[in-house]
Amino acid sequence: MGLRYSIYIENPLSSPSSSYKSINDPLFHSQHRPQKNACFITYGCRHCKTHLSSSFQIISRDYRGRTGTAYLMNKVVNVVEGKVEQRRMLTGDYLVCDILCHWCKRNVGWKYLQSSNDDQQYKEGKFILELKNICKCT
Amino acid sequence: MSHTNKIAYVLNSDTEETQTSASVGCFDKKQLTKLLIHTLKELGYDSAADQLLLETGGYQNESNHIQAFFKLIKTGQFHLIDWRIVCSLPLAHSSPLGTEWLQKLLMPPAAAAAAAAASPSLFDHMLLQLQCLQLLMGSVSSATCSDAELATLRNYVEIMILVNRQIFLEFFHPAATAPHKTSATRALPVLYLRKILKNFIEIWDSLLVSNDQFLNEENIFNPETTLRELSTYLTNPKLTAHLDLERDHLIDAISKYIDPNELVPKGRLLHLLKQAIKYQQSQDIFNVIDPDDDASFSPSSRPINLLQDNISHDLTVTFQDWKTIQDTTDEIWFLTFSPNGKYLACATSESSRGYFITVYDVEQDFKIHKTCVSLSQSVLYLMFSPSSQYLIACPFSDDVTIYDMNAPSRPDAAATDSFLPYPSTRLSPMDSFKLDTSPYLDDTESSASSSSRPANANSSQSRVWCCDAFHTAQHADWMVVGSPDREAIVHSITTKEPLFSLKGRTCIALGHDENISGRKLIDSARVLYTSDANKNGKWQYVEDDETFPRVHDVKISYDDKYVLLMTHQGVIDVYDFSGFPSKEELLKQKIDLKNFLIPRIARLDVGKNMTCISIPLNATHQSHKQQIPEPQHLVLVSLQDNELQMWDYKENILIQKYFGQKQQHFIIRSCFAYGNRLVMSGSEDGKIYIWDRIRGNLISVLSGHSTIMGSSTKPVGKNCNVVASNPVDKEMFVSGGDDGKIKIWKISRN
Repeated sequence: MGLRYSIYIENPLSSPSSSYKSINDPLFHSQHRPQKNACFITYGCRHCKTHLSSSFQIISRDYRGRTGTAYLMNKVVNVVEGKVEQRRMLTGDYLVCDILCHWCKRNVGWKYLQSSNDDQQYKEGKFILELKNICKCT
Repeated sequence: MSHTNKIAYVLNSDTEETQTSASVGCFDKKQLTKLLIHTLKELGYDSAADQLLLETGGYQNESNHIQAFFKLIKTGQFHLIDWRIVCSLPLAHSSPLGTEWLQKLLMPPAAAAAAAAASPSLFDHMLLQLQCLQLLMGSVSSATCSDAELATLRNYVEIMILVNRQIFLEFFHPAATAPHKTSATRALPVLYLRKILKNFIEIWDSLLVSNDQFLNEENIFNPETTLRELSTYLTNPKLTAHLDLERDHLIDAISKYIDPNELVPKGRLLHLLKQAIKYQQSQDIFNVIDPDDDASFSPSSRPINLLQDNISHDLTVTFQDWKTIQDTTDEIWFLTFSPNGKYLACATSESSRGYFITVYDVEQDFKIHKTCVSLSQSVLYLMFSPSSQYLIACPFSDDVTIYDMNAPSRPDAAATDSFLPYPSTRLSPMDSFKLDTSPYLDDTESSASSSSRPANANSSQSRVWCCDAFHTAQHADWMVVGSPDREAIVHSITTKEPLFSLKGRTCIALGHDENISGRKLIDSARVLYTSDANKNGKWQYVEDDETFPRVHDVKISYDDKYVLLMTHQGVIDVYDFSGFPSKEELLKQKIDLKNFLIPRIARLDVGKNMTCISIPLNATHQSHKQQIPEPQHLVLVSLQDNELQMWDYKENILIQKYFGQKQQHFIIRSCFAYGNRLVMSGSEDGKIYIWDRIRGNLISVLSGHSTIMGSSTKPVGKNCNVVASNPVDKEMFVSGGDDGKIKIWKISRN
């Protein structure tokens, strides 16, 4: 697969007087939940520090993954998707696929593709990042 | 109809007009006829030339003055050559000497003239000429004379020196039986050199100094080298071929000074034809010029047709799939040759067998030379030091690992890496280091390892994605390593310590009249200092308050003056390292690195995501027969968006773009090849794309890595990730792809 080109997630709050052009996807910074005095954290792959998502993309901190606590994220980048499979979870059956860091190909969580429960459909297209697999990055 | 008019008829159909006009097409008829007569003579058709000469009514190819002068040289009657004869020669690039000067030159001092008349030896004759010149020089100064006048005088002096050089050389000739040589002793050449030639050369030198715009550094015929050559000849005379041949050389040399209207230069028509052929070839997009020489004029190359335009309909080079190495099924991520062309290092993706770098021996049919071990993760960048001794590897993990190619291989059965395919080639690292940087501010946040919060990355350590070594002796074994974590550090390979961090130690250099650094307004408060106006103009050094960029690739020019950082923000920053202290200065602590600022002299605004940069192959490895000057300050950039660009990083201009290859999601690398005549790149369709560097046209697309490999558990890829050319053997390059194949290609001329 070669080495994929990674995009970076920069803190939108700090506005350095930079003449560098922001050519990475600026939409990614749009806050899912606008918070006042929010602390911006970039999350990356624990293994190779490739940027994956940011604290502004967190929908819920109250999830359980295979390795412990996990976050439900609105958007995740720099990942490749694994095989689609059906998984039984506490809240019902889901069609999910694992997400792998696109550099080191390590598992960082999964993506919800489809839910069998109507009231769980808000998770579709959203991502789980397992805290054991990610780290804070700069 | 006369004969000349027939010629005119062939060249120009407007016969009625040309019969009377003095021009044929846009050419001067007189010049054209002279060229014809001259060429006929050169071809040996003397009678035809004479016939034509007769018909034209006396288009003399050489004026009488020139003929007389050359006759004197041919017969060795140097004692008859004086200023009167020399100054009557019509010069090519300057007007004749002013009459006032001429008279001074021709008026010898009475005493000297009498002495010369008493003993008419060659020595005294030339001494007299010298004295005449010295007398004139006394009244000449650059303040009172125009440059044109001085140039004229200089040209005549140079002709005189050429004549005197020949006189000097003929002293050593056994066959020299000139009548003036009656008092010849062994001391005569020494005396001649000291009393006459040396003084002539000194005057020549002073004339060069007084109008130095004519001084051509490249020219071998200059005062210094001439004097040195003659002095060496004194102690070590080498007998040269033939007296007549030497004198012919002298005539050739003097001919270059003479007005071509009066004397057609030797081989003029052939010269024009060569230029025409070269032009035809330069228009021919299939013609890849051999970097070594203009092969088109060597007898072995394809014949040139003079009677019609030479257009080739097929490529002049072929690319041969010479060898394939398939040692692994892992993706090939990086390939690089050592600067001496002996080794090829290969980095692959994560392997089922562990992590290692394979080094192949190019000269022994790509046998595995070393297997570099002790890596904890996949390697994404490799670099050999200029001496080819050290191999530097940048893995995913933060440890930059250095291998010494000269160290012995140690097979280790007990080691955990017994997976190695060739255990006898196992090479342990010499050193490995992490890029320690100052802790980031957000580290202060409580990072107690509660399980409900993600751990902090070990953020005092930066990843390293690229590196390049300095090339010159004064920075030997130093390298610049670049990090995507906003860091670039000068590191010493041998002393194993970091020397200088670019982060926060940069400033912006601004030219006084142009803004090449991308900043529109200069806040005067932020100007650090202004350099004195020098050759490069006046520079202002402005504080750089930007966040240091994420560095994705780094290259250092061969003279160590420029360091190029490819950033993630669509720009390439060019830093001027010419003021960076050398090893010695650092040792003596002449320069304090703590307060050292590196000026950024240019920012190339590429504006797109870039995946790699490369600089031309080092020209010193190549032949000296270069016809076209080597490209300077070029940088080739691979863009994520199906494009390559060529920039001049010193002038900050985009020179050429190359299209065709596929590159969307992956880091694909490109390189210069074939003596920098070609540019090549890998591609996401598994092919290798090759362009003409100058013209930018696609020359060839080679299928090499299209086979789709991969088991059911592994993602399937088919990229050609990397190409690399052998810096010594210009005909060899390699490519590596996701299929685990390393292909060795050869470029050959048809």
